[in-house]
Amino acid sequence: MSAASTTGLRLDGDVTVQFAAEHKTLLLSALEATQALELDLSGVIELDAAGLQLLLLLKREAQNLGKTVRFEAPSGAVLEILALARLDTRLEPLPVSTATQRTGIDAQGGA
Amino acid sequence: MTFEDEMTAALATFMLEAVELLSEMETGLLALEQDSSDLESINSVFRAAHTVKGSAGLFGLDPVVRFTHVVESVLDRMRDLEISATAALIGVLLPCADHIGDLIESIAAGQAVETPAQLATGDALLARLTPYLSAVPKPSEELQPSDPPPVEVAAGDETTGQLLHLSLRFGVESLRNGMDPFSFIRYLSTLGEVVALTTLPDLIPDVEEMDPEQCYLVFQVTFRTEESIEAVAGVFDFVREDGDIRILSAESNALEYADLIESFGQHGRVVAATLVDGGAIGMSDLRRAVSAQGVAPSIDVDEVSEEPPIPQPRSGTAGPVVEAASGGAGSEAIPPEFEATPARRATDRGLTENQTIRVDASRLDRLIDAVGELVIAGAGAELQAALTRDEALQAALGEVMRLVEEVRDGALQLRMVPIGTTFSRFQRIVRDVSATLGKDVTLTVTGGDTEVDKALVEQIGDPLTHLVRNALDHGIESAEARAAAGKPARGSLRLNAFHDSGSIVIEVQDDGGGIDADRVLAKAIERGLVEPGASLSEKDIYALIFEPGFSTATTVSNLSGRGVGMDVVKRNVAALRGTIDVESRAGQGTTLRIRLPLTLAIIDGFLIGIGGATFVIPLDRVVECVELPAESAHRDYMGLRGEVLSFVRLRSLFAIPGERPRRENVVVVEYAGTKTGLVVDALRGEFQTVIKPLDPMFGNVQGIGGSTILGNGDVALIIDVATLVRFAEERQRPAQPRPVTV
Repeated sequence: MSAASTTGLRLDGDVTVQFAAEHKTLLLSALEATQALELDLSGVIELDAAGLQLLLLLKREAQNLGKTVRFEAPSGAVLEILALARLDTRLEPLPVSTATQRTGIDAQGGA
Repeated sequence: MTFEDEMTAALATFMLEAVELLSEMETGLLALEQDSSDLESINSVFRAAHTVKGSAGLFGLDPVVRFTHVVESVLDRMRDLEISATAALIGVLLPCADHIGDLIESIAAGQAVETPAQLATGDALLARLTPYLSAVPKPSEELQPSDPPPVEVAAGDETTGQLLHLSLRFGVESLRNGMDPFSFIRYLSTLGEVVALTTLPDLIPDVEEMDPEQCYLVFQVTFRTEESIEAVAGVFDFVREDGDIRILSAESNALEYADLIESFGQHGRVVAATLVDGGAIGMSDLRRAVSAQGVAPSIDVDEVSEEPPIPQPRSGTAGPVVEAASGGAGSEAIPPEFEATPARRATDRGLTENQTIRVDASRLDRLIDAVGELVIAGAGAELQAALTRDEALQAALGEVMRLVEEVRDGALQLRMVPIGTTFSRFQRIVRDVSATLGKDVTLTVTGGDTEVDKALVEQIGDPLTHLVRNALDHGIESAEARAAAGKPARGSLRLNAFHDSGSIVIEVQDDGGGIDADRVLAKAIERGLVEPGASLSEKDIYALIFEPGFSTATTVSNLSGRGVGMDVVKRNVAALRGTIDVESRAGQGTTLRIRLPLTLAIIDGFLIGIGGATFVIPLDRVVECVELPAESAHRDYMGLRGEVLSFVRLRSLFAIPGERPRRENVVVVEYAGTKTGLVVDALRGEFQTVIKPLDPMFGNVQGIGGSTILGNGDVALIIDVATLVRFAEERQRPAQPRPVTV
């Protein structure tokens, strides 16, 4: 958990089913090589369910291995999917009470 | 903001598809005009209208839905053979298709409601359709999702409407099939309010077993809506079969809730929690339900530490509520070609047609670029392997190269589309234009399967339209004039396409009166384009019709004759590095011939050397290679089998330093029927060439079409034969050869 073993990784473009196989390999091998992974999501243009479930898998795998994953600077596309999935930027469920917001799109506003 | 972007993008896709569907509809209607019993066309027209309506409904484009619905009803009757596709009916349906296109276009332009003009047009068309509608409107199940309009409900207050619980387990293959669960959730939120939603990540298997392309996400949604449960169920028509979609309401009995929880096996507890949290069912009710039914005794809604029960097989438990609710709303199996856009979900027929996938052209370009690099790298590797004399390695590499070529051919094919799709839209243009002009003209299309680069197809449409209109207006005479000339009253227009030595040739041919060379010349002199008394060849005279501001039409019609068009056509064709020429016979007709490069990224090249430099000539331009005869050493022409062949010395043209070798060679090239020789030092054989465009900085360099990298890493320039042939032709006149520097 020391700062020295933190690795940054940036995901760009479409994090979608088309690239899911590559991204799975990429993300898991990045996790394997480090104690703490900082995933920069600012360049994600499109995120779909395949992409989201990969991020969820990555988070769970990190927990299983006693490592940490942080999702940094999520792009608008990421935030929109998180809002639809009612997850916060740590991919934890948002409390139900925030659901009565107008549209639930402004993910950051909740919690 | 992002959500709006998403919607805008989805809407853009819908627009594109709508244009395609409407043109499909038009093609079908025109085919029906020829043969009113053509069931296939009836079906395709119906399908197109149906899909447009469905997609429009998804986006809440009410004017489109309302209008198209009536059209669809008429088509439905046609499909059921209750009414037949008479010429009169088709005469109504064609403008209907136009009107739908017009409505969609104005929405694309950001217009929210119909303009008064559009309303008037729509009403007039609807009035004309009325006689074809059945007296008693039969309840149409297809109306369900879009009528009443599905949107506008969401914004309402939060306390009305019923509360539903949706359990959305999508099929494992849904992602591969292009159906993103989030598209459905997005659309769902247009029908009401998503009160609560839980994404269950727990069904994602362990790292090793997790197939990243399968869908493991499950959503539990508490949903408040004023829509009927059927309407909500309709959202999931396309995924119901492969997934497990359940919609429960307050009226659903406890067994259904219990069954839902049980179907999640060890994750049932989480599901139960979402039911209670969302308020779909009270905690005590749920507990009572679970215990009363005696199912899943291990599920305890408040405790977390229970041992998970053995997961139940999911098969027998497909949501009974939804099945019952969706009743007649036909849920045919969805085809795997569905795109990841909600717009496409409305297609539920015509499963086998047009199995296409839309790909961003820039991605294709990147692929082709990468394949190009692969070809180059492969050639380099082969070169190295040849040096090792390792036969096993060479054989292995040979196989790799064979595959690389296969990949290359496949990649290039991706960009190629048959030109027929462009041609087919001219049926309508010819029909309408000739009707306006009071002429009777048939259009014959040949060579529609000739393939050409997609970018080219898109850009050739407008010039072709000009040519077709022009041929109809000026080329083909009136019926009386035709009769007087002893020709059949019905004129004939022909569109033809074929490949010819690395080019695609598109011909527009009419059987009209031909171009009156004398009148063209007289007009050109009158306009000051030509000096009086100048003697011009017939070909030169015909070329004058492409001069700006030239028109010989004696009357100005609203179609053409304003003198704009032909010069624009020529400019457009030239911009595509193409040429256009005219062939005409008085009294017999005119042929306009457009010749365009195929502009492929990879060509077979012929390597030549001049001094230390290597150049590539596209192989399909090379006719033959001969040695430069000694007597032509100081002339710019030579005899070739009794004909005079002029040639261009590339060494001096490109100002390459160094001595001329003792023996020089002439590569005879041909472009658009003209042969020219290119004098070079050495012939180095064939080479597969990846065209890399020149940097825009070198945009004004003439005679060079691009560059390529040779197997040994050297750069070679690709010679633009068309320019050089023209250069040699122009030089026949006394002009000074202009050196071209690289």
